[in-house]
This record gives sequence, structure tokens and C-alpha cells, in this order.
Amino acid sequence: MKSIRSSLLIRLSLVMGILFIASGAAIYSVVRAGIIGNVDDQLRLASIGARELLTPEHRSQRPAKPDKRGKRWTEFEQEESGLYFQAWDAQGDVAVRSESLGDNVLPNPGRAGKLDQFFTLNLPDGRQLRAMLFAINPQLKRMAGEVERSEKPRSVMVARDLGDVHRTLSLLLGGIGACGVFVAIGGWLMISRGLRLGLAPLALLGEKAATIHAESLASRFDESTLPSELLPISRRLNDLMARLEQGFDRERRFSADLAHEIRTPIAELQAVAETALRWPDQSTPADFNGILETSRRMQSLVEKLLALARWESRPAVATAEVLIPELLEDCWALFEKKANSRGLTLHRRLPPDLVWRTDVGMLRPIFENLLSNAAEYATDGSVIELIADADSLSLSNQAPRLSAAQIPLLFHRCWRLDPSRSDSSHFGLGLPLAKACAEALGCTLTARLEGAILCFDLRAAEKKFSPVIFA
Amino acid sequence: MRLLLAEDSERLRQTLATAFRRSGYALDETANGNDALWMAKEGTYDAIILDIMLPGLDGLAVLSDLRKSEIATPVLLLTARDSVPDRVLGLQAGADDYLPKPFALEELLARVQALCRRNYGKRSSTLVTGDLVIDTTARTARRGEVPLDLTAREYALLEYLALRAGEVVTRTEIEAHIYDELVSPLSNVVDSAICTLRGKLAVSPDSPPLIHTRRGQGYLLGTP
Repeated sequence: MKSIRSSLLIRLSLVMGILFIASGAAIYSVVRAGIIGNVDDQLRLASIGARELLTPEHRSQRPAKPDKRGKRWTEFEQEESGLYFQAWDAQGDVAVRSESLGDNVLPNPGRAGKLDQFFTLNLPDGRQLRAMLFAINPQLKRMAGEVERSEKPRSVMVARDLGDVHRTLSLLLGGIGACGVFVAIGGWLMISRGLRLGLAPLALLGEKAATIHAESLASRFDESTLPSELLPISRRLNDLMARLEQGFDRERRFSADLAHEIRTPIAELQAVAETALRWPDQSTPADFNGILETSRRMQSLVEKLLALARWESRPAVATAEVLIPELLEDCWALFEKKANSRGLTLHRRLPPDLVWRTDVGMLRPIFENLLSNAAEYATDGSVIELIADADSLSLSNQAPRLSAAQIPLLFHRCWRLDPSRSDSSHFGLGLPLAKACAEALGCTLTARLEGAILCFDLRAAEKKFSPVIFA
Repeated sequence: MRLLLAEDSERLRQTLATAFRRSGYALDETANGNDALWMAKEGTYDAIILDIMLPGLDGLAVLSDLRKSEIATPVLLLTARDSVPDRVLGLQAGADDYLPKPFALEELLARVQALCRRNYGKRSSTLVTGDLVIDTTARTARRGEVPLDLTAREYALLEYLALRAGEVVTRTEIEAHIYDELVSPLSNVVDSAICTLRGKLAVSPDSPPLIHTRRGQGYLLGTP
């Protein structure tokens, strides 16, 4: 499993390693260049000594301090001094060699130019030297000390053993390596610790998210303690949890309401049956009529639930031209008797030839449930207003007992205005069923409260589903 | 025993009322929470069977109000809400028992009987007074080894007297706990029922009388 911390740790360690190696290499190069520069300076000094040895005129022009001169002299004479010179004549033959060279002969690099040349060379015995090649005045008068003359020297090379330099550089390399190990271990620990601390809010977010379950959806991520990078995530999660909580609450309420709708009739059936069995000689036809009526009510409930499930699964729509006034009359006829008994009047405002192209099988439950709702809950003696046109229908009636906060609940399954759910002739499934049918048709069914007037609006949500006037 | 049944489902209420009455209980019934509260406060009941989801005033509010009014009548909550939090809430509100719907009628009758028994400080289902033994579970009575043939109301009267054995029970109390209908103050229905019961308790000529009359006070069940 990939871990952000491990991934970052590996990447940061690699970057740190590369940076350290580059830094170490740069330090090593700079120090080496500096040391070689020092050696080159020493060679320049030595070249003056060599000139002095080989050209007395030069020496007289640039008198050196006796001790320095003496020292340079001494170093050229001592075999283990590490400072050498060798001169070649115009023909490239060795003219002079310092005693410090012993049996070694410096390789001939060719004729010296006007400028001093520096280079590194290896002796046959494996030693590495830093050398400087320069030209001297060809009018050589005499040789100094034990230096023997064979030919007039033209090119002179002074060289210095780089053994000390290599030892110093080896020490530097060792130091850099030791620092590298220390920095690698320390850096790994610090990066690891830093990442742990830095990613702690993310870990906390993950832990908090892991503790979320159906019973803790009311909890929220504390945005005040989270870094700005995690705020968008926590906000989205909080939004998601709020929606989930609402959904869970709705489902819980539906389950509880449905349980009540089912448990009470089952209890009725059970009680009637047990009473009849316990006192068989006292049972009456009314008991069996009660069982039948309760069974029919349960059947109606089951059928409504099945219908709701069917419409919510968005079945295929079979469109046909539907004469809306005629369909509304058919639906209203079911509730007209009850509406008349309550003094309700249905005012219709729609074209007499209004035709929609829609699925009548889905439109009928919408009309039936809206009209049933109005006939049931409108204030006695009031007017129900029905307005319809080419792509919408609205039905409004007085609903003084309803509050604005209850409007969204109207379409919740098994929701009822009466919390005791005493009226056994309803289940609270009519409006959800109507909404499911409307959505299956590609329409929207909404409710709004204007003062004490409840208004339902059925509208085409998309043009392609929009009902049209039959031409 | 007199019960109050508050249930808004008409069919269930009628069926339960029938079952309780056939079991020998006197019973008042209502479908409304406000009425249930009024009846519980004004009447004398041995137990109350209360639905939670009642119109007007819900069952839990009725129960809380009763307990605040220091009415300790045992209450059995009968409801479709069966979750643990609902049960806990009901019991914490002061209910003595909780029975979720649907339920077995047998269980409801047994629970109500146990509540009524506990209301009189009796834990055993067998009530014994001298050689009179009453099995409240089987709703039977015997005198020595002789079983008594009692109607539901006679049994209810005997059980009530046995639950209060050693105490003087007034006619009014008997009327309130045993009789469903309002009994006229001039009626001799209680005296007549006691007379009948005495006759049934006299299983042999030498059986000692168990029901004694306290003139001007009432009746007492006990050994001489």
C-alpha cells in the first residue's frame, strides 16, 4: 500500500542525498583547486629558485632573502624533499637535474612557451607530481652548485610531489563521507519526524474519517485546526456528511413510520385472531370483517410501496397524446363526493382542448394524488385552484395547519402531518408517489407555501420531456 | 381490576377491550391522549395500557404528566416503536412495562395481570387465604381441593378481595375496580355479587366463611 509519508520520505531522502553529494563534490573540487593553486604558487616560487640556480643574472636582478634562497637550494638537493627541477636544452636533451630527483627522470613535455605551463604528471614509481614548465634565458653563463652542465638548458620544469596534497584531499574526502553518513542518518530521522509532524493533520483527518459510521454522522471535521491545504477536503467531507446525515435521518424516519404503518395492522390482525381463538363461542362476523378490512389496508400499503419502487426505478415512458381536461375530470370524480361533503369547489383554468404528449399511466397517479391531497386537507368550504397550460400545471388550496418547514417533508415517504398517524386511511405515500411519477416523466413536482395557500407545481424539467399542445 | 386503555387504532382498541372484558377486567378506553390523561387523573385504575403515538397528547407526555402528578398507577406502554432508545425513553419516563406491536394477546394479558398484582404488593401468581387458593395465571380458584366454578366477574371480585386480603374493601372500591359501567349508588349489585360468591365459597356445610361484612364499611376477605 502506498503511503504519502513513505513516498515523501524516499523522495526527500533522495533529493537530500543528491544535494549532499553535489555539495560534497563542489567542496572537494574547490578545496582541491585551492590546494593545487597553493602548490602552483609554491612551484612559481621554486621556479624563481631554479632560475637563480641556472641564471646568476636573474638572481642578481631579483635578490632573494638568504634564508629563503638557502631553503630552496636545500630542497632541490635533498632526495626526500619532494621538490624537483629538470632542464632540457634546445635539442630536448636533459641538461640539468636536481639531486632531489635521484634516479628519476622527469618526462619531457616539449618545449616551453612564453607562458608558464602547469600540469600533473606521474613518475614511473607511481608518485604524482605537479609540475610547472617555463623557459629560461638561453644565454646561460654558468651552472650553480653540483648541477652539471651538458647543454645550455632552454626549458625548465619544477615539480612538486603531490603526496601531501593527496593525503589532505583523502582526509577531506573522508570527512565529507563521514559527514554524509551523519547527515544521511540525521537527515532521515529529521525528515521522518518532520513528515510525521507535518502530515499529522492529514493522519488526524484520516483517523476521524475512519471513525465515521451511521450513528456518528452528526459529527463534523473541525476546520479551525486543519491546515489550509486540507480545508477544501474537510469542507467537502463535511458537506457530504451533512447530506448523508439528512439521507440517513430521512431513511430512519421512513423506516420508523413504515414500521408503525405495518406493525399496527399486524397487531390488529393478531389480536383479533387470538381473541377469536381464546373465546371461540363469542366471536362474531364483525371480527372477520375487521380482519378483512385490515388485510385490505395492508394490501393497499404494499401496493403503494411497490408502485413507489416501480416509479422510482424510472420505467420506460410510453408517450401518447392525452386530453388533460378529460383526465382531470376522471381523477376528480374519485374525490368529488368527499369534496362536496366538505364544501370544496374545484376551479379549473385550462384550455378545454389542452393536450399533452406524455405517459398517461404515470400522469394519472400524479393528478389523483394531488387532487386527493387537496380534497382531504383543504379547509372546509374553500376553493381549490387548478391552472394548466402547455407545459405546466399548478394546484393550490388552503392549508392553514401546514408550516413552511414542513413543505420539504411533504414528499418524504410515510411522512404525515399528524404525528400520531391515527388516520388509517392514509399512509403518507401519495405525494412521494406523485413526485416519483413526475421524475419518471422527466418533470418536476414542487410544493410551496404562500401564506396559508399550499401550491403544487408540475413542470417539464427538460424540453425533450416537455408536454406539448397537440396541434 | 379496572384498566384504562388508550389506543388510537380503533380496531385494535376494540379488540383489546373485548379481550380484557372477557378476561374479567373492567375497562375504560379512549383514542386521545388528552382524554387519557384526564381519565387517569380522575379515575382509579389498577393499570393503564398506553399507546405512545396518540393524537392530542402523545403517550410519553401523558405518562410524564401522571408521574409529575404523583399518580403511581402501573403503566404499560404499547407501541409500534420497538427500538432500544424508545424503550429506554419510555421506561425512564415512568413506564412499568413496555410491549412493542405486534404482540401476543396472551403476553399482554399476563403482563397486565402482573402489573395489577404488583400494584397490591403481590409477587406470586398464587393468592392464598386460609384454604382458598387462587391461581391468577390460570384464573382459577379452589377451596381446599374443591375447584370453584366462577364467572369472569365473580373471579375478578374474588381476586380483588384476595389481593386486599385482611383489608376492609368498600362497596365504592369494588364498584370502581370490578364494574365496567357506572353503578347506581342505590344499586345492590355489589351485595348481590358478594352473596353469590359467599354461596360458591361454601363448598361444604362446615366450610368456614371467608368473606366478612363490616357494617357501614364494606367487606373483608380473611380467615375467621
